[in-house]
Amino acid sequence: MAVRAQFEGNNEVGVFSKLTNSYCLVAIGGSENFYSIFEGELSEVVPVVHTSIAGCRIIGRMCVGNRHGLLVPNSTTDQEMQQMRNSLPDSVKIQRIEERLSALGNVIACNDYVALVHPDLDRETEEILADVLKVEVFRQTMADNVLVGSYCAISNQGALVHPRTSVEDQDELSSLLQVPLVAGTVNRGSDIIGGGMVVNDWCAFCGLDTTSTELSVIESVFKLGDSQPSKVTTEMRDTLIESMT
Amino acid sequence: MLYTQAARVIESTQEQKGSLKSLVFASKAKNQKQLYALVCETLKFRDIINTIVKETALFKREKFLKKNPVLAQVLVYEFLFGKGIRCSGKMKNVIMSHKAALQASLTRIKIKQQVSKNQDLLPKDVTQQGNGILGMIMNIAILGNGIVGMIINITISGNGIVGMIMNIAILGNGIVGMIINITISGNGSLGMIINITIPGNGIVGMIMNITISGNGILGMIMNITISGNGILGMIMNITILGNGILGMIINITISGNGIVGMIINITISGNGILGLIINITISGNGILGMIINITILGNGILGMIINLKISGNGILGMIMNITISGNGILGMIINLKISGNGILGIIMNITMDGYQCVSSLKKKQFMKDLHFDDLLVFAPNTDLHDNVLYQQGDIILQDKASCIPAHVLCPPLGSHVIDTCAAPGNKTSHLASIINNTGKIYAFDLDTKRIGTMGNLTAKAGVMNTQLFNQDFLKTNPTDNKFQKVEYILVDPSCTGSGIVNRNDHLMGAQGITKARLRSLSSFQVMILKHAMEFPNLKRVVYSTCSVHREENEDVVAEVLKCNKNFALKTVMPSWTHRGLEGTDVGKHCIRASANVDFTNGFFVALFERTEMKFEKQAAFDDRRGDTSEKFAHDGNGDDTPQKGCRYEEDNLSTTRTKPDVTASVQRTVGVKRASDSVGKKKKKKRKKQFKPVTAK
Repeated sequence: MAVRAQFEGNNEVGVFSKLTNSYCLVAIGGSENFYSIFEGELSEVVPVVHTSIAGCRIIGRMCVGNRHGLLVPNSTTDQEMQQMRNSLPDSVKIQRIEERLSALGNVIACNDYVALVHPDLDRETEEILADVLKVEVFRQTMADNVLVGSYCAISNQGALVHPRTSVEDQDELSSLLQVPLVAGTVNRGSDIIGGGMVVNDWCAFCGLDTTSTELSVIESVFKLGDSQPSKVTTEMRDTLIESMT
Repeated sequence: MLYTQAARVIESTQEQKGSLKSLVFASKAKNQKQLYALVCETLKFRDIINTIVKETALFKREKFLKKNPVLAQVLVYEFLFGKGIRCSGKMKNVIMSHKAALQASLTRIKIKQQVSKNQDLLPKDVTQQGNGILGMIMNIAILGNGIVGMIINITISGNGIVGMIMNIAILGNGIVGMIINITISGNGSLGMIINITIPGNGIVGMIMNITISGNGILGMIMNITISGNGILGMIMNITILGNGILGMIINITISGNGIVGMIINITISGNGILGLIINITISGNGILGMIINITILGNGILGMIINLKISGNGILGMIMNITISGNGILGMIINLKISGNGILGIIMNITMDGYQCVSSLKKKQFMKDLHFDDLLVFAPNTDLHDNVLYQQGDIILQDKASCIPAHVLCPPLGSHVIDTCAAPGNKTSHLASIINNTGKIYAFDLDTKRIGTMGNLTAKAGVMNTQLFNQDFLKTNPTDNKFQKVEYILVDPSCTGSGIVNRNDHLMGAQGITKARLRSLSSFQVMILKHAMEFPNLKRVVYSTCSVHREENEDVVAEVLKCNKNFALKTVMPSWTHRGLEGTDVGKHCIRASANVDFTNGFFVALFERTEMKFEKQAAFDDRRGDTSEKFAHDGNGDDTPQKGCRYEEDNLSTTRTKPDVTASVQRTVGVKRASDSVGKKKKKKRKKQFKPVTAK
């Protein structure tokens, strides 16, 4: 299911939240509207946690994480670390990393298996990333932009990338990620995909400006919601028909 | 430490300090097999590893690896393709601190090359030519009388040949000396039809070779029709190798009167042959000296029909051998119909026995060799090195090809023999076993270390009649008194060894054999062969190499023949189908062996014999040869049990009859040993010791 949301009048939901398959982080804001939307969609399945990172509300751009772990920049305070440790599941490892490119969310995009990273990312960060998030790490650019985290959104089901990504690059990315991939936009034509939306394997949140066309593209590439053909008509079809004949 | 040792071995091979194998076995590694595997695999993946190292800029980041680039290759191989780094400390740390980058880089390479498995990254040996030949039709019609000395070679290689039709019609009378070679190789041939029609009278000396090799041949029909009178000395060889042959029909029809000396060989080897029909119809009067051999080897043969129909009057001296060996033969029908008057001396041997053919030997199986009586064939990867019989020197492990020279030289008992480049002495031991430790063998080798090993090995094997010389054979004086009785010389000089299958030279790239090295080796070979021929009482010389290069084989033989008129080539082992290179004069007299045809190392053997030898001498010699072979057969305990295993037991029984307990234990050891065989295509030679009790009988 893809849902539209707004953080205090700002459409860049990917900046103020971080969504994975085992937890969701949401920035602390003036009102609880934004939090409620997430809470309403996710609360029965994964913990939705209020937090700030290094005192900032732009938590989505500061940290990177997946089902296995969460990496935060060195500037994260002890108190924030403690708060996250207490609220996140025990299986999620949390680690502070010393990295010159401290906006980890902008320089790293990942799902549960693969991470695409800024070409200049530190060697050690790469190793920590592989160890904590249990991913294969590829240095990559996205339509000649080094900020791979800003310009794409990845889940285990699919990926949405910068609209100017060439077909060859799309092929390469798709084989690196091993998921179907489309180039598209969010928020009525914005190419900053990572900033404009968050996604996990069953749910996505986009800015309020996102058009319904964009929404349907998102739902189809990330295999969200009811618009998907059901299993009966796809995977089970052959078996059924074979046994009926 | 395994990794440092592996790196050292690779460095040494690159500096050409020795072959891969010798370096590995010279190292003090605890587990040499593991080391060898690691070295080979690292070299295989070398190019990919170098790319990865470059892409990840490993040397820039780790000074330790930059200083030891070969070690880096080994470690990267072990981490990415092997079983993971199995050590701790610095080496593990330097690799593990780059593991994400290394893995990512490997994945990227795989994605670029669009493969999913590491193994697929390796470059394939691009030797396949012309695949997917579809609907090819070839018609060759030759018309004309009095055709003399025509050669037709047709070679078709390629996989997935579909619907090929080949018609060869040769019309004309009085054809003399025509050779037809048709070679078709390729897998998955489908619906191939070959028609060969030769009507004509007075055909003399025609040779027809048809070789078809490939797996998954489906629906092939071959018709050969020869009609004509007065056919003289025609040889027809049909060889079909391959597994999974389905629905093949071979028709051979020969009609004509006065056929003299015709030989037909049909050899079919392969597993899973289904629905094979062979029809041979021969009709005609006055057929003289015709030999028909049909050999079928293979397991799981299903529904095979062989029809032989021979009709005619005055058939004289026809020999027909049908040998079928294999397991799981089902529903085979052989029809034989011979009708006619005045049929004289037809010999017909039909042998069917269930031992496996060489290619299908499985683990813990072995068999008697098809060519050599004193040889057992073991399944690949049999390891006999730890076996008691081997350690005591009762058996010798040797590739089958290396057994050929001594067998071909076949010196009679009591003769004096020289082995020119003897170390490590396996061939010398074989020679000693052939002459049953009588006579004298002079063995030369230049290498002090190797001749030392040879001394140990031959002593262990119980060779008593050999005198070792640590000197260059070229420096010997042929007129020396002690060599006056030398009549047989085995020349097996140093060569490139390019035929040896598991030397893994290809891993080292093209740097292995240079033109210059080939040239210097072949001139050395010519020199040593010429020197051997200077011995005054010499009767025969066998020349052999384990090389596949023409420069070291046929060319050397031709060169020596040109310079030395006293010696002539003699045809080596006429029953061996794999002859020397065609297109050379000497080729048909020599034999070659290779891994994919004969399941041996690449090998070459030529036999020279003195021409001015007197007739009586020759006759006497032939007699003696006959004796030896008879003795061999006799030897094999009883005349009708070819099972080699029984021989051991009997020998053991006869030698230890007084101590029944010991006998039992010996037998048990033998049993265990036979059960625990191994070694890739290694053949084991039965030895002299076993002949002893027999001669005592």
